[in-house]
Amino acid sequence: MSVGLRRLIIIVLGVLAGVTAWPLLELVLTFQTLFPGYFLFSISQGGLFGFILGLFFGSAEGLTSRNRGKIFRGMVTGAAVGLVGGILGFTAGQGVLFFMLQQTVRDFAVPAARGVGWAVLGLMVGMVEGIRARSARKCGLGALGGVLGGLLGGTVLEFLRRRYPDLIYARLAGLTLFGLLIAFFYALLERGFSHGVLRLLNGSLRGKEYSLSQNRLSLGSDPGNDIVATGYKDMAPRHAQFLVKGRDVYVKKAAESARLLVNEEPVKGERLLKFEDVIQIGSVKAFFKTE
Amino acid sequence: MKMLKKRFAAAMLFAACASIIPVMAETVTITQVDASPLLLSQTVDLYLSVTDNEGQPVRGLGQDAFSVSESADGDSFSAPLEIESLRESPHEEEGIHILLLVDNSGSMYDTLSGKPTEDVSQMRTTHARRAIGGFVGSSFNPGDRIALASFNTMVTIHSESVTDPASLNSLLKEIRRPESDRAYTELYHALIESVEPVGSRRGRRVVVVLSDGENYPYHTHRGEPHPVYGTALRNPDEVVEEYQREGVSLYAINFGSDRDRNLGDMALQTGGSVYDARNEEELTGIYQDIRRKIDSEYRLRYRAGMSASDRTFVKVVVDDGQGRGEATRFYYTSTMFGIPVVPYPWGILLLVPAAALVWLLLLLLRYRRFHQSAALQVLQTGYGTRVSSATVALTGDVTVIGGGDRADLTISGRGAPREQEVTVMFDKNTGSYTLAGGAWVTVNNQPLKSGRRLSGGDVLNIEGTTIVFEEPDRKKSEEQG
Repeated sequence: MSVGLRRLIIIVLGVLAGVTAWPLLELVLTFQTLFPGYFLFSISQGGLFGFILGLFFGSAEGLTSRNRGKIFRGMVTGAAVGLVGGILGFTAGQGVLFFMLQQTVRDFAVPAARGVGWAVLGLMVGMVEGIRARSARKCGLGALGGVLGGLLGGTVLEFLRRRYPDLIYARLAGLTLFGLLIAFFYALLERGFSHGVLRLLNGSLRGKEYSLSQNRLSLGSDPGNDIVATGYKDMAPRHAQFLVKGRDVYVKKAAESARLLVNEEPVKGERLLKFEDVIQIGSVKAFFKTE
Repeated sequence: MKMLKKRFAAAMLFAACASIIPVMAETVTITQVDASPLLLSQTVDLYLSVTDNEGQPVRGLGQDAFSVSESADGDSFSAPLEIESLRESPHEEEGIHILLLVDNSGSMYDTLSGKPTEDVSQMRTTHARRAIGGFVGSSFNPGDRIALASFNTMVTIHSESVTDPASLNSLLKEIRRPESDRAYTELYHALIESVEPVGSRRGRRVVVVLSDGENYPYHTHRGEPHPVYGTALRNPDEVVEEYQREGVSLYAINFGSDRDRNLGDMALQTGGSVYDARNEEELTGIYQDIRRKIDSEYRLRYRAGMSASDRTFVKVVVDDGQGRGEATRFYYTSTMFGIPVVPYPWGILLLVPAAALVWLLLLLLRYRRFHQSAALQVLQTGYGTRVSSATVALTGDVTVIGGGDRADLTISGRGAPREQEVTVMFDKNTGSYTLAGGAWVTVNNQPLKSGRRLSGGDVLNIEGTTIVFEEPDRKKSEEQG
């Protein structure tokens, strides 16, 4: 799978998250008067929304690499991060909303306050993949993408709500767009800040591409690796590691006995990669190319 | 929709009127609603003014005398809600934010009877300034913050927060007689602009306007666009809405013969009062009365309900056995998602399994092609180079890559092979593929010296065109075999 297709699937997941969240949030909204207070109400709404978004976004990596273990772990991590993000985002947004309504109400106040909430929510949801991959750089990219997507998606949601207050599907359109834009901005930033793409050329992962948008990327047979290479010969549990230093990408062995070649030359220590290099990691062959 | 709008307008009118009409012997006014603690503690603070038939503040009321209920539509109210606390005269410690808005139109420089004069001591503005100075000097509490603004054709904010009464007198001296083109009375614009300096502050917020005439806009009477507002005019409804939204009370003092006919309504609807003053003594007394009224307010904290609406109406009933009165106002309760759809369309829940199904399809989707035979896959081509096919299956004994039409994979354009053709030969005995060509061809970035046996994933580079040798997918072949 190319990185382009992978990003397209992430965008589809964003749309699915919005579509799934909408009927459930409407249901919570219906029971608003049964809640003991606005705090618990905000927590419930935000937690549910973040949970759903995190669930979908968390499944992205496992889904695109067809790794069921990764799907499960990603969904659990995503749901947990999304839950926290949703609670923080919604509570912050509701707080700002009440504060602005109380203190300096102008026509822009309600959408602006809600925009803050959506942006915080987007920020947290955007970081799901970075937290799953334990990559600060990916977290940063995701956070920025999430804020942009959240802010823009939230603005559109507010616009639709205000423009079509009686239209039930306005919120559906807004939420769907919210999920789509978070995914879109994440994909856009991932591409913009990528140091290159690693395309695997043989075996079960043939054709699969990985964007080097994080500082470290590991490859091995162990499920904890970023690229889990199962079914390959001569593969150590943790075989090789790709490192981003400044604008350069290096590869090094992660295990002493691991076989690592670049352009058929054995690698000792770290080896600086240039585009079109062919890397042989055990029996895995990979091609390093530009985005 | 129209019906809803009408009902909402009726509810608003009811809310506005109910806040000022005494039901029996006592008048209750909700002067301000402070919903800032709502999110964290689910409580709302109401500032209440309770006066008797003679307009005198009723003091010493206990919590039992008050009853609070809420409504989403202003019609049907809830059962009485829990009152958490009641405090008399809360502003003594908390302080209040007062903006004094002074008319500085041309007529303020006439005498009290409206005759032109050059004697400063006889001018209406002189009396007004002395009354204001005396009021601030005698009624200033340590926690109070006072702002000063004046208006004619333009609005001037002299200070947004004065903490020292003495400095207010010097600010009052800054107010100069306007030129003739600045002598109009932009009363409504001034009232709206005065909200912001106090509206952004916490606690009790008040605007006290002193004017000697009616709204006399520049654009209407001069026939030219206003230098700042252009052709925009403000009306009393906009003024009231702005004050209600900001939670600011308007106290209005008419200090002339031509009171603006809407000034009283605007003041009452915002929780304030309206007064007429004929001379400096009365004016001083009025300022003291406003202060006394504010000081004698109650702060009632109650546990709010959960209203599924953008505005929640709150009704306070006071009944102390001597008399009864009630008042209604609203505060904003917009939530992040807004108002629920009623009735809930249960059918939309089908979207959840539908989305899950699409997710499953994504999981089951096959993202790569399976080869039954080995293949050459073109990864990228150089600038100005074209290839006849992106993938070539290696089904024959010999597969040719070259620049001519005879080749199985033709590379044309700038990157066409110039020397000899490149061939991939299949050995039936060993089931292996061997590449033959010149040193200008590379395999895994190493020059091709002689025939080379290919293995899956080898990368060929022919004049800038990158091709991958892909082995057949064994599992797939076996499954089908």
